[in-house]
Amino acid sequence: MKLYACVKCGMEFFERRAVCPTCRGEEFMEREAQLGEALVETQLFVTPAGFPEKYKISLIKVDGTKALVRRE
Amino acid sequence: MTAIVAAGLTKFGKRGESLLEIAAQAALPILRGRWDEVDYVVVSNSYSGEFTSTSGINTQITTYLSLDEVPSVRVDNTSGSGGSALLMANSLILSNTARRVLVLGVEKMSTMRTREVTSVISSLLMPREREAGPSLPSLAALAAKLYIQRYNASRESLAQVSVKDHRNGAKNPYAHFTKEVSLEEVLSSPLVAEPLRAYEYSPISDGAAALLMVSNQEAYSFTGKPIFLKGVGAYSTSTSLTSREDLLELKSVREAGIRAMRQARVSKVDFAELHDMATVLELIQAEELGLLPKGKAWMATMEGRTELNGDIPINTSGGLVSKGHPIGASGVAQSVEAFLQLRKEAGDRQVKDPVTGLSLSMAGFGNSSVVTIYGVEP
Ligand SMILES: [Zn+2]
Repeated sequence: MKLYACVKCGMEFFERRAVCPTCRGEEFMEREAQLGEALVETQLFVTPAGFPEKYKISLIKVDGTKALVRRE
Repeated sequence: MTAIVAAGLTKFGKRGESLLEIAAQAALPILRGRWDEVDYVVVSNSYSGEFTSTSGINTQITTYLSLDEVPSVRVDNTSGSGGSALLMANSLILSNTARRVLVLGVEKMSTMRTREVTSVISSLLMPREREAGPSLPSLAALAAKLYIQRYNASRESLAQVSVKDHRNGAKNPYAHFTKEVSLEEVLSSPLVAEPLRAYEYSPISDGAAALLMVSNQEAYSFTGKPIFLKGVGAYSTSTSLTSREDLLELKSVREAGIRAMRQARVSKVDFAELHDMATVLELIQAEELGLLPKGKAWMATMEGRTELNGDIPINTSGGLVSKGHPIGASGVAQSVEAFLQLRKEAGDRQVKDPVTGLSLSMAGFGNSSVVTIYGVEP
């Protein structure tokens, strides 16, 4: 799982940002991280058009942040 | 602050009429006899482009209403557009930019099928999170799981929100659903995102709602029963869900509520219209706003405290779940309900002698919120 890390303070993000909310740094590097424990998960029975008709969405802990992941 | 002196509403639901025709139905009862008085129009609408391939909807509407030369603006803040439109109208009047503002919320959504609508609404998510494929209803399902787990809430209590909302909606001739549902019917309706089921979500609706807003000083020259805005509060929470500390916390709701209550100088209200896009959200929001104790809204719902005759009636209109959720119209329609309740014109769903009311207009999954406090006095 790719994460974005603030070069200045190390804070990590799943979603890209132009500015770090903690230190206002503007430089980020990409790094690979292992998925941690699932915090909560749901099975969808109505999905957005353009996606498969059935899958699960999980909110998963990943190092210093979280990730949203689709599991089919 | 400002006052609401007139209100209009269309029936919510699947409508054959066009976007412009629906908008006119809500606005005309307000405008008749006042064509020269309205000097600004604030249109609350989020998805005219996506659902009806229409842009510049505000000036199309003013022209359709033959207010061709009246300045206007479209306010888009997704499902929270209505509350934001009210906030803008209030600011226009307080800044002396305008004196009499028509606030018109409208959405036509039934042009698309459910999965397409789900996709359009998901476009409010941040890009990478959207790519994973969550729907807004699935985010509510995650919150439902966390809520049940953390507070030991019964599964039935969430469904009971729907039962209560439909009971209120059955008394509202403008509601999308005007039929009561039983707990068994809610719990056997089709799963949308487990554990939540179809009757626990707002349906896809067309509809419009309108208000005429003026300064407090002018209010009584329009009606003997103006309803006053006592406080308006706005706040945002990160749109990035993975950046949030806790999915169960809707900080924008809490902070907007604190600001609105502080400005209104009230600590309690007599009824509340909340943004129950899903049943569980009504519970979380009631707690964030301090209407019910943290972790206890589910119990209060089971005990009937949020019913019309309870100590804090919630979603007397039927809420989004029963009344329907035409995105741009919803927040404005909440104000219409507050207007009717405080004027004691809410018919069979009238709560007893209210003097203050609250509405919460929420965008996305709490991405931003506007809370408004209304009163029979300034
Ligand atoms: Zn940083």
